[in-house]
Amino acid sequence: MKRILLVCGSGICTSTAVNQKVTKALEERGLKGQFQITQGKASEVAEKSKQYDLVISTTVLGGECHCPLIIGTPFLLGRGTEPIVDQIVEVLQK
Amino acid sequence: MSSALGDVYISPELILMDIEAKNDQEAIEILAKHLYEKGIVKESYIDAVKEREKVFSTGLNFEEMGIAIPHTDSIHVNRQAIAVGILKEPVKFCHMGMPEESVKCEMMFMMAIKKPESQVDFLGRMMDIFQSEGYLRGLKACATPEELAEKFGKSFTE
Repeated sequence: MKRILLVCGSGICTSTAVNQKVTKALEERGLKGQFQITQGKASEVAEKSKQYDLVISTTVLGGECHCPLIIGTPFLLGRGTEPIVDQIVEVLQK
Repeated sequence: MSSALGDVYISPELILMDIEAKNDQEAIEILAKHLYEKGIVKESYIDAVKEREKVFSTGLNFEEMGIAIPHTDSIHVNRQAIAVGILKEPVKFCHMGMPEESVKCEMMFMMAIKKPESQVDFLGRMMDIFQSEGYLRGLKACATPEELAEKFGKSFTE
């Protein structure tokens, strides 16, 4: 089980919207049950990212990220998402 | 008929059709003040939403139009709502997640969200709606706040 930390400024707004889209995209790639998404705030990344395999953010991070980081804004725009899903899948399959 | 909007208030009284602003901070202030005057948010919302935009920018470059979705923490909100502001001339906002990129925004959708946990559906749905071809152009072309509010509110109804 890979752990994904999904963050936005407040941890509740855009991260919720992106969570739905990422979950759907990964399930379509046959990865259901192989990942767990937790939502959080951008400000928590420096402290928490060590415990995760991947951080997806819709905003800039205040501090350092200790695992791979992917900007998830294209999920809100609904375009340019395929290359990002590829990147996420690659991290999850490592 | 169910609506993904839940109790998020959309109303002609929260729509400004002709905002004149030099920059993003000015544009946000005009719409945020309006929300405060209508009792939707506390006075503290105005500065909070302006400050948040500086740190976590909310411009989104949709294919047919740049828009911004300024918002801030629920402690500043009295009642859940979305205000819509049409900018007379496009205003530059920084892109969400990519602040080095600027977006010429023609509209603002300012969110006052009080219970984010009950709103799981709502923002994702709004993003889907904004992606459909002609939607944002059609919304911007509405002649009156009443027409815009009706069109916008209806889009959430399934």
